[in-house]
Amino acid sequence: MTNDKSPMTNHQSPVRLALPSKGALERSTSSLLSACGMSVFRPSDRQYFGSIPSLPQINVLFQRAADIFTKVEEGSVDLGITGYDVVCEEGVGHDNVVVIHDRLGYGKCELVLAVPESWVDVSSIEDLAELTLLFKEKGKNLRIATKYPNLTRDWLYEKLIVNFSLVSVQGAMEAAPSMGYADMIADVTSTGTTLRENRLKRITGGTLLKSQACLIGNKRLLQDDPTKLDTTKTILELIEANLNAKKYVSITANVRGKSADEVGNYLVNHSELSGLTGLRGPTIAKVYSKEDKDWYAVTIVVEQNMLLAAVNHLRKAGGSDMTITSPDYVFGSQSQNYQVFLERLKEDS
Amino acid sequence: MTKMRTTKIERVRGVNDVLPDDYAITKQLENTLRQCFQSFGYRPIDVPLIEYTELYLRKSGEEIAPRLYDFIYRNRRLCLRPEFTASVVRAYVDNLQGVPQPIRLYYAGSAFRYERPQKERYRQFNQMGIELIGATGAMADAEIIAIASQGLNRLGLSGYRIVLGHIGVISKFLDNLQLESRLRSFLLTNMEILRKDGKSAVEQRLCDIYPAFALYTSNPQLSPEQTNPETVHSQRLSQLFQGMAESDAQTTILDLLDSMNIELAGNRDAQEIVDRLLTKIKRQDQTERVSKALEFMSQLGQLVGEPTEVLKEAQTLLCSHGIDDAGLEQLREIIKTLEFYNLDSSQISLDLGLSRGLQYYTGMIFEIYHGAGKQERQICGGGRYDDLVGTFGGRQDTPATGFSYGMERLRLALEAEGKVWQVQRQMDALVVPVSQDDAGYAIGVAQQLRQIGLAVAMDLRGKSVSSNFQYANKQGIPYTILVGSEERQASNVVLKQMDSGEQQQLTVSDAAKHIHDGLKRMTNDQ
Repeated sequence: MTNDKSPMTNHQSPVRLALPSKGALERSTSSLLSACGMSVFRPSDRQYFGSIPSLPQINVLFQRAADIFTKVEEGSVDLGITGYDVVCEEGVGHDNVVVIHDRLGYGKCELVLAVPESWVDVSSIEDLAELTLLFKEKGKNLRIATKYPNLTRDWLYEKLIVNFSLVSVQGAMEAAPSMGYADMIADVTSTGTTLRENRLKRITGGTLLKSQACLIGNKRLLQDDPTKLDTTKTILELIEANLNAKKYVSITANVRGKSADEVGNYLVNHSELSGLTGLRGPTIAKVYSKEDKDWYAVTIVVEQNMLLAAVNHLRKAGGSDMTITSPDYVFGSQSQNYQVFLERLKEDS
Repeated sequence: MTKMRTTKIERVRGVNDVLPDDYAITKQLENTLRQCFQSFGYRPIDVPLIEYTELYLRKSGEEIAPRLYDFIYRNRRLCLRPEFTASVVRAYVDNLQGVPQPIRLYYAGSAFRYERPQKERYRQFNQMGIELIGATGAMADAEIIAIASQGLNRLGLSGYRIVLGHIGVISKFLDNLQLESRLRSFLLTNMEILRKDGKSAVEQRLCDIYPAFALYTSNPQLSPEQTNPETVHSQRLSQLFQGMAESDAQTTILDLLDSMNIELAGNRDAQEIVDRLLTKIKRQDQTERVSKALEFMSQLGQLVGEPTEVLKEAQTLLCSHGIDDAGLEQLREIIKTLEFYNLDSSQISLDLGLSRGLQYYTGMIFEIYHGAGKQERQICGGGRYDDLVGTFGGRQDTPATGFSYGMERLRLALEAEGKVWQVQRQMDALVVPVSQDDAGYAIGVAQQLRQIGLAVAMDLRGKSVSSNFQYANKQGIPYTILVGSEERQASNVVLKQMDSGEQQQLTVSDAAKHIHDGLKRMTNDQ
């Protein structure tokens, strides 16, 4: 693990983490990190450097989300948080970037194909395939405007659609068809409102990618430096445990019973649904009550959607005084993502 | 301060350096094949490394597109050539349409495909091949196959098999089914996978590009309406429009859209949209036909082996599907013609499941394989492509046929047979000035020897005589010529023959004659 032989010569190089500098992605990233105990300190909105006081070995750099991939790829930062869509688009042919966590739970969007609403004859990907051939017969090329040329091209090629040309457009993508410099678009959408406002529609089977924010790193830099790998593990563990925790609630109830065994047996053996008695099983402790001796405190951790079922189950067992709390972290015996990440890191680049 | 060393620049993935020894062997191979092609009256042509991407999208098809080095440079969409045939045909259309036919051309050079790097598959590779433009019939096809085989014979390769097929058989069947053209080309390019990995593998790939097929395969009992909800709508609609004349149907749709306040403005013509909508409504569900095609293709794929036997079985199969057997007849004739070239008939087999990757083939196709089992590699492939000239805008339809060798694989096949090629001697003599003062005279001597055709290198580093002898020995240079002040004054040289160690003082012209005779003896001894 870390090199602790000679602290004198062991000058740890800081881990450079690039975060989105503005917009919704900035806000969500910042709130995720603070929820994970890694609040980011940024002296002012216009500052491009920041820090994470709880992890002093990290230097934070604020970058445009679109640039973060490039920064990580070229190695000017070790880690970065950006959209998975950007990683997939820019990542084509770059083996130097490893995705450490691909579902940070925010910044969700889909990369979709959209055609003008007036194309009443086009509702599916098969229609689009036919249309490209029709265009070809007429000596034209179907023009698709997109900021994602690699993803769009590769995806269509895989569907054996090859007769099209890509038009690269910066901004106001949705207007391209009505302005006349493209026939249709491939772009990200989260609600579909912008598409509709521009009289565009999605087509069946035309989702190229589902994306959300993700954590990426520079393969070579992480491979070469165990201390950086260690810091990455810390960040990943905290994020993973925090995201995991969102799925669960912790219920503590007072349950009347003769003995801890009796309460436990009842709870475990009389549940109709699996998962009602916690991740592993109920934790039971004696309650020292003045007037009545037969009270036990039962704590279980269940999935959010099982909350009421679990409460009712506890009631049947004689439970009352139930308090529900949300855990901040749920850790497993080991970090699953970290194992996956280590394997990806080992893959020959 | 020391000079800063930076990180080294890596070689691009999937491409190779060809070092001198390898290069020499490659050239020898190439020259042997050139002589073979030329002996059949073929002449060399060179075509550009870059072309408009359009050249390959127009006909080569969906399979090659993802593997193109396709890029936009200064607003032009260009790509590195993935093969030669398209370029040669384009060059023909550009320059050679007036030339008396048939035109016999051969080429040699690099082609580029963005492949997953793996054993014996490179992103830059070398092809050598021929195109015969303007000739149809079995004589032409047989000539192509015969040249391919004779080239291999001249290289001394023996354990190869020629596999002959005909793309017309399967494409006739698909024509009859009237499949959507994307599905058609999918099926054609998946013949090989069908055979190697079985029907389910192809079906799986099919589901990816044609989702309706997924439901169909998961439950073949379902009616088309159930598998594809769209068919329910379209059936209802198609019944609705059945009785109507085309123009009435169009007006009705336009009225309908108008009443729904849907505007058909935009980049596409309203008429075109309505036309396609009508076609779509009337179009039948394709899943059953695709399934039929897969079935037929599996049967075709079984037809492999000794020609007479396979032809007989194929006849029966085609008969049962009502497909004409023109393709089989052509194969029969080609095989008959090949007999006159003294081709070992046991080296030829038929395979009606053969389809080749590229979609421009229209008739006979063939591949040549070497080795068996895991050692098996395809070293050559080709076929007839009668539509390509027309597709590229030729003045008239022109039949054409051709093949290409994969040079890297050919080389490996030769090595597998233990055909070790001699690297020719690169240098005949090394001229060594004993001191700085002798350099001028030494250069003159070297120049004199070069003029009479010897390959002569100079010692450039002012090293000692003994280290020059060592260098000559290690490099396999047979003669060293020493020039000191004594020799300079006498206009002589000291010639040392490296293998015997024999050393004598001679005039330059005597030394030249001595080397000449010596080299001749060495060549004869080999």
